[in-house]
Order: sequence, then structure tokens, then C-alpha cells
Amino acid sequence: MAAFSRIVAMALAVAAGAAAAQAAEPTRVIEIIVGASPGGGFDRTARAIERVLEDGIVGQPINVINQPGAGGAVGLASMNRHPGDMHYISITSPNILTDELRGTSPMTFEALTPIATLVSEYLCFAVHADSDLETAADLVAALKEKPEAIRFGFATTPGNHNHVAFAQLAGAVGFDVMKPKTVIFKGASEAVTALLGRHIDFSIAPAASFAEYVRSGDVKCLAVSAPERLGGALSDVPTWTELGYDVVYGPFRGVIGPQGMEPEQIAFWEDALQKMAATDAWKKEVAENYWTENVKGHDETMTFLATERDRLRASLTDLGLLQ
Amino acid sequence: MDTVAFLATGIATAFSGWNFVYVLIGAFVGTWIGMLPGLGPSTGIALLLPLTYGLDPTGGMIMLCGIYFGSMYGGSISSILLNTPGDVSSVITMLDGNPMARRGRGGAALFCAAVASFIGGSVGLVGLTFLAEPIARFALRFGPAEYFALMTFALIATATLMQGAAVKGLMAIVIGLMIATVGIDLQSGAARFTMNSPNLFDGISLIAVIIGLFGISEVFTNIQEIMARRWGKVETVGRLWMEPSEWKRCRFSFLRGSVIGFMVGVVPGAGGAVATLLSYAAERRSSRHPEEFGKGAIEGVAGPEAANNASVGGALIPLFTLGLPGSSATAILLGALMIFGIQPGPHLFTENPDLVWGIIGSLYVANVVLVILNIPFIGIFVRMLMMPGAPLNAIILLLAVTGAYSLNNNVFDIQVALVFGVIGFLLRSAQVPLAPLVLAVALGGGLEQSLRQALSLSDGDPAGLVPSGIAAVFLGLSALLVLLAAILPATRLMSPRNRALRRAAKKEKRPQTQ
Repeated sequence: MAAFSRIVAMALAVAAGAAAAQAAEPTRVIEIIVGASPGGGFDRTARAIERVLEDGIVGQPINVINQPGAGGAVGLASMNRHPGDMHYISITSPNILTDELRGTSPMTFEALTPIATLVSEYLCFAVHADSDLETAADLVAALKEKPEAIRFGFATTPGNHNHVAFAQLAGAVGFDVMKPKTVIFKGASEAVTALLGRHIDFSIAPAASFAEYVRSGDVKCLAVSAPERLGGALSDVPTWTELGYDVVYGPFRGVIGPQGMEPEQIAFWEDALQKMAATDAWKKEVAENYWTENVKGHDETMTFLATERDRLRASLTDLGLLQ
Repeated sequence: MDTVAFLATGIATAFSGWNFVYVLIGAFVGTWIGMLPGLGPSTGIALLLPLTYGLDPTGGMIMLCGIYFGSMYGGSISSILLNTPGDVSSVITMLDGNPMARRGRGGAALFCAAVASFIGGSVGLVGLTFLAEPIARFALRFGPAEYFALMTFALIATATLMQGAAVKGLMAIVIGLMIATVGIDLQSGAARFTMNSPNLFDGISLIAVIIGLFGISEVFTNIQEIMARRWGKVETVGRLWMEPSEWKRCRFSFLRGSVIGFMVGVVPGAGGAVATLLSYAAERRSSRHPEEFGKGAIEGVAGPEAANNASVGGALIPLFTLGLPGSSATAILLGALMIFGIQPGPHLFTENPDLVWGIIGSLYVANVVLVILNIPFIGIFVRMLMMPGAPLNAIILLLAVTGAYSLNNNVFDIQVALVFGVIGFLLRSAQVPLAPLVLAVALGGGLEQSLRQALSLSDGDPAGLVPSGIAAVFLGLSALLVLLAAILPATRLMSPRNRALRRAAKKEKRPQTQ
């Protein structure tokens, strides 16, 4: 009898083990839920991930579903309606932190399952090609002497990465971040239009937004907020660190899953994404988008998000957006 | 190579390999997508974008541009026949197209829309081909202040859409502007009237409002008519072709609309709504029968439909020459280019001439294909008017709900559409015109934000609103229109004719739907 029950127990354990193993691998179509419209930055990241993953890394077909709204919060909420289901993943950015800090979204990253960080998108500090501000030193001098004379414009919302980078420059240089005339545009291309038309003097945006205009000689990029120089059309542009100012900031992009994912499920995705990051196809995407590789697994991403939240809280307070 | 040679290779590209098939599919599918209530060009392109990912860049872009053009034309069909526009630019076509259909001139209205789309499309494309380089940088002169001036001018022009009592028209505009304030404010990041619902953070979707106000409330109105045993609004589908007198009335409308549409299209952010609106206002101002507008004036279909399609050529100029999208539809095309691995920017024309000229060439081909494809269908489309009420209502409702959902894959947009269906029905019953309301929703956000951007840049100095000749001209014209309306009550904007219209409207049993 005892032997029998041992056998039953063993069989049960084996069955349970098999079930767990099964749960740690996708068994049907995977959905990447994108909280932005087709053709936008998030959508392009998701499509790039889809293409590379489908190419032999994940054994299931992948669909990209666009559910735009509230800077991505609508898409994340929709994904989170599938707790513990590894067939739903989404793209994440600092928005999840700023939304929480500013109280526009009740969702914290702890309420979801951050799986990995993939890249950082460093920012260009740009002026019109004919601007009197020839170098980063000119810009710094102008911001120090007469900040209220500078017309600064950026997309897409106050307190986002572009704005935070500006606050960090203000901290490093020592000027009042509230003084420059500040306007916000609906999208990166509106901000570029305004800069090209000289309706604003100065703008900050992810490197890829300006790279083509730097190459055509329409825009001067005075400095980048990267730890090291970027490639392509921006290889001549100095970093703020080189110039002696501690401004290193770039929004991250990563992959996030719904709440309550099992460690095995997380491990599956970490592994798949690591394989993806090593492919030539992905490296090509990274270079084309002027991204910088910044691959972190689940544990590291959790720590990173927590420190990043503190850093953002400080910057948003400087910008007067938080009490 | 000069422009003509480039264009020749572009048209050759359109006919090479599978490309011609993509043109055909794009034009055909685009027409059908555009025809569905609630699906306009930008939703149509966004919806079908993923289908093109497997194609090569040229083929994929050709198909998307075919869809863009096709859905522009398709939108006029449902506006004219069913009173259910799918996009803000076809709201204007509905104003006179639908009354024409009710009078048994639906075929002529569709024919006119097809011809107008062809002429407008051609003018826009010729402009794109030969003027792209010289006027590319013109778009850059539109900063916040210039944009605000243009939007003000457009808002004043919505007065021409008013039917009946001026106070109800103004009410409609104010309601529209109020709806446009919902959402996270761009300049401050503050949430306004969002009731803490993330679904409202990006504001109330304009397309969902259109689906509700026109599509769903049309169903309610139809039900009311069926219950009152007044169903059967159209006794006859009438003759399909345009009468010689109709041709004569709108030959200049085609050209005026085309030129206005092209010029407005070049300005980033203005798009089809402003183009059709300004064209309609121009037609009404220059017509010898302004009192017929809103009751089935064929010029009211010809001008705006030409403007609508001509704006496509204009909108592609900043996209191709500078990599800057000026409308939601071109923004999606820009994203598509990037997904195909092409970096749009000032180098697009010089570094990818085959692609750009291939797209332009296939747009010429798509423009011709659309006319050939659609004119034979007019006879079939017009039969929609004879459909019995119950199945027609079911179909409109089904398509409206599907259309609303497909905007963002979000059930919330269906709820918005349903709520606005009820609001639309009530407003119709109170004879509040819906078109100025929708135009105010479309213009309101841009109007407010550009005003605040311009004032931020000038430190609150109102002089900052007139930094350039462009801004001065549009603000001056707006002031002139208002003064004319105030000083001369006899002017076309205001009273006597409107009083006549009001009397006429009261005689009609059915509430005015515009």
C-alpha cells in the first residue's frame, strides 16, 4: 500500500512537472500588444521584435496588436487582463514610471512583470543649421546668460524623456529650467518642422529623429546625452560627458508581461530575447534606429526600474511637475 | 534625368511585375474600406498596413497609396447615399450629396464625386510632380502662429455650413469645441474632463464621434421614419449621369476645389478637413445659387470632393521632400516607410528615386483605375437607396460598431459612438446642425494648442500671433468675414436667406440632418 501511494505520488509529481514545463513555453499564437498606433516608434520596435523572434527563436506565430491610448497605458492595462499568461507581452518605456509618478496611471511596474530591457535611445540636443549657437558651449552660455531668450520645443508631453534630459542639463550647467520659453508639440515630426522653420531655437529628441536632418545639413546636433558617441551621421557629435557635463539620459525600451508570470515563463522570454539580441538582424535594427544596446534580464530590470523611478522623481520635481 | 523622365520610369514601375496588381488591389480595397461608415483613409491605411509587411518596399507603398486614394473616393459613396460619412473630409460631401440622393440624383452625385476625385487627384499629382522641390520648404513657414491663423479662418468658414437658426449653428460649434478640450492637455500635461479614465486621456476620438453623430443617429432617424410609416425616402434612383446643366454648374468647382485642396494639403496638420471646408465655403460664396447649398447643390459635391483628393498630392510633398508627415494618413505612410527599412528625410527623393517615383507613378495609375473601376459600379451602389429599412439599419449599425472598434481595438470607442448616436439623434430633433459640430471637434484641438504655443513663444505678447505675412493674411481675412457678417446683415453669411431656409426647413417633415 505504501509502495502504491509512493508510485501515485511520483506519478503526480511527474505530471505536475510536465504541466509546469508546458506552461513555460508558448503553445499558441503570441500577441505583442502595442500601446501606440501602427507606424509609430513603439509599433516599429514591436514589429522588429516580431520579425526576429518569429525567425526560428519562438516556435509559435506572433501577432502585433495595436491598442493606442494614454501613452501606452491602455495597451498595458489590456495586456494585464491576462494574468500569468505568457502569450501576451508588450513594449515598455519610461512612460510606465512617469505615469505612475504623475498619477495619470494607477499601474506600477511591480503590478506587471518586467521581463527584459533591450535598448536605450539616447537624445540629440539640436538647433537649426543656421543658428548662432555653433557649439554645445554656445548653447550652455546662452542658457546661462539669458535663458528666457531661448525658445525650446519638444514632443510629446511635459515631463517625458526629452524634458527630463533638459532638466538634467539645467542641473549640470546651473540655469533655471523654468526660464526658457517652452512649447510642446504633438509628435516628433511637428517639433522637427518647427525647428526647420526656425519657429523654435532648440529642441531635444531621440537621435533617430534628427539624424537624417543632420546628414542633410539642415540641423546641427550640438551634443548627445549618451555615455559614448553614437554612430552613423552623429559620429562627430560630442557627448555631454566629454564636454564636462554629467548629462547621460536616454529612455529605455524593454519587454514586459502581465502580472503573475511564473519564473519559468520569465526565464523562457529572457532566453528568447537574449537570443534575439544576439542576431545580426536585431543588431541592424539597433544601428538603424540609433539605439544603444542595453540588455538586462528580469532581476536586473527590476532593480533598474526602481532606481530609475527615483531619478525621474527628482527630475520631475525640478521641472515643477511634482510637488 | 529630368522630372518627366523620372515620372516615365515611375509609371513604368507601376506596370512592372506585381506592382500593377498591388495598384488594383489597393484602389479596389480602398474604395470598399472608405465606403464603410466609420472607416476613412487613415483608419483604412492603419488597418491594412500589416498586410503589406511581407511585400517589397515599392510594392507595399504602392498598395498603401492605392488604399489612401481609393478610400478618399469610397468615403463619398456612403456619405452621399446613406448619410453616414466615414471621415471628417467626407462630412462636407454629405451636406449636398445626400440631399441630391434624396431627390433622385444620387447617381449624378456619385458620378460627380468620381469625376471630381479624378480631377482633384490629377491636379494634386501634377503639383506633386512638378512643384515638390520649389514649394517643399513653404510648409516650414507654418509655425504655431500661422497654423493658428489658418485654423481661425477655417473655424469662421464653418459658418457656411450652418443651416437654419444662427444661434443653433453657434451652439453646435461651441459643443464641438468643448468636446475637443477633453483629454490630457498637450502644454501642461494636465488631465481635463477625463474622469480618471485612461481611455479619455487622448481625448474623445473624432472618428468615433462621426460614427455616432452620423452613422448611429441615422439608424435612429430611420427607425423613427419606419415607425411613422414614412420610410422610403427615395422613390426613384433617377438618371445616373450628370445633366448638361449640372456639368455647366460645376466645371469651375472642380478646378477651384483642386487648387484649394492642393494648397491646403501642403500645409502640415491642415489636411482634408480644412481643404474640404474651405472649398465648400468658396463654392457657396462664388455660386449664383447660394440658397441651394445644403439642399443638393452639385457644386457642394464637386468642389470638396476635388479638394479632398487634391490634398493627397499636396500632403505627400512634405513627406517625400522632408520626411515630415502633414496628416494622420501620411504619418502612417511614414511609419510604413520605416518598417520597410527606408529612412524618410530630406534625402528620400535623391537616395530612393526609384521608390518615390514608383509611388508617384502608381498614384497616377491608381487615379485612372479608380475612375474606370467605379463608374460602372455607380448603378449598383445607387440601389442601396432602395434597400428596405430593417436590413439597411442592421448593416449600418453593424458596420458602425465594427468601425468604431477597429479604430484602436478598444471597446470604449464603441461606447463613445453609441453615446454620440443618441446625442446626434437628439440634436437632429432639435434641428441643431451636426456638420459645424464635427468640424469644430476636428479643428478645436489644433486651434487651442497652436494659440497657446504661439503665446508661449512670445511670452504672452499678442503680437506674437502675427509674426509673418501668412498669419496676417489669414487673420485679416477672418476679421473681414466677421465684420462683413456683422455690418451687412444682407451678406451671404447671415440672415435673410437663412430666414428663408428656416421657413423652408420648417415645412419639411423630416428634421434637417446637417
